[in-house]
Amino acid sequence: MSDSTSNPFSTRFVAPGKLEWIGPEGFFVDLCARWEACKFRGAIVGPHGSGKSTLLENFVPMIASSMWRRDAAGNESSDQTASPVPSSLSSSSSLSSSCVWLQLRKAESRSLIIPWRRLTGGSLLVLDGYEQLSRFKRAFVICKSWQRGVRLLMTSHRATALKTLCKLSVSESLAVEVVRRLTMNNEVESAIDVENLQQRLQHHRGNLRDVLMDLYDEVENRRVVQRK
Amino acid sequence: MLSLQDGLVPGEELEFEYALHRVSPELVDSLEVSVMWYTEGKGGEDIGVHLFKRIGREELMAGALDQPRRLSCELPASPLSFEGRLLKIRWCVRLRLFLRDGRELSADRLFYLGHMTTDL
Repeated sequence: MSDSTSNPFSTRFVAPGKLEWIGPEGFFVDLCARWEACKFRGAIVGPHGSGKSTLLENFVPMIASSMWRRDAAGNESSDQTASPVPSSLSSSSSLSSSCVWLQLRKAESRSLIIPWRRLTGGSLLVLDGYEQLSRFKRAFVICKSWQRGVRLLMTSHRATALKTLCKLSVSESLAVEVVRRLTMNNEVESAIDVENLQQRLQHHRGNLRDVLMDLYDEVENRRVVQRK
Repeated sequence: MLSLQDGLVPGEELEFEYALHRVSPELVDSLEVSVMWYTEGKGGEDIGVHLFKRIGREELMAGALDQPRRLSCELPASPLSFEGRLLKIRWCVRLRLFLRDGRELSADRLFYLGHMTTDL
């Protein structure tokens, strides 16, 4: 968590993967069960800033035996030291699989290259931002992964051809909890009032990412006033 | 972190001491010490590591964990610390303690490199 001089709403603390997933008890167990029921091919659906990437960042490392990633900037990384699937998540050993994880950009709608040679039967393809793909490319990915026995987990703003595993949205209480956790160690920012937060969430149509960016600016403004 | 000069200028020798308290020796696996900078703000993150030292269990256990250990390095010419609205550049000494049960503890101690500059 942030120290007292940091802005608690900077990317360093709020980017997907930096925030711990907040959900009802047993959420991941239910998610696994639904995913397994649809033969490990499903989509996480929700609007901008509803937590889709944060959910992936928390869920995929639990089920990936090894991981190869390409982020939205095109940077590639691999991790061969992923932890075993927690026993609380599933008693089925078939849940664990090697994973290729792609964060998609709009520029890739037609040109996306999927490293199929890394994907064998039973391995997992994660597509973060499926709606970025052209209609043709979407159909191609779904068909080819089906033929090769590759599991699919994707995020999208709208329902897809795959079964929807969960629909995400940001409630006021969730936003309050996220802000509370982020400002735990900060004195100035602990004064952020909840009513204001509700208005911001409405203003940004439930996009928590934009709300947090707003709060970043507010913290900076407060600090300027304090310095004066 | 036991001691560290707060304000430093490029080319100056950074000297600091650290010690481990309230950690059971049986649990300790290794320690990483870095002198590094990172960006903080609304955009993407960047980091740069100026000094990195990994200390294995054997070396750590050669002395008492709570005994101060000293490290030093010469600081580079850039990037200088900066406190902007959209971007901050922060220098720190970072300790990462890896435990045998897989847990990791981390502590940062910030310092300024150069004269602190801010947005007007």
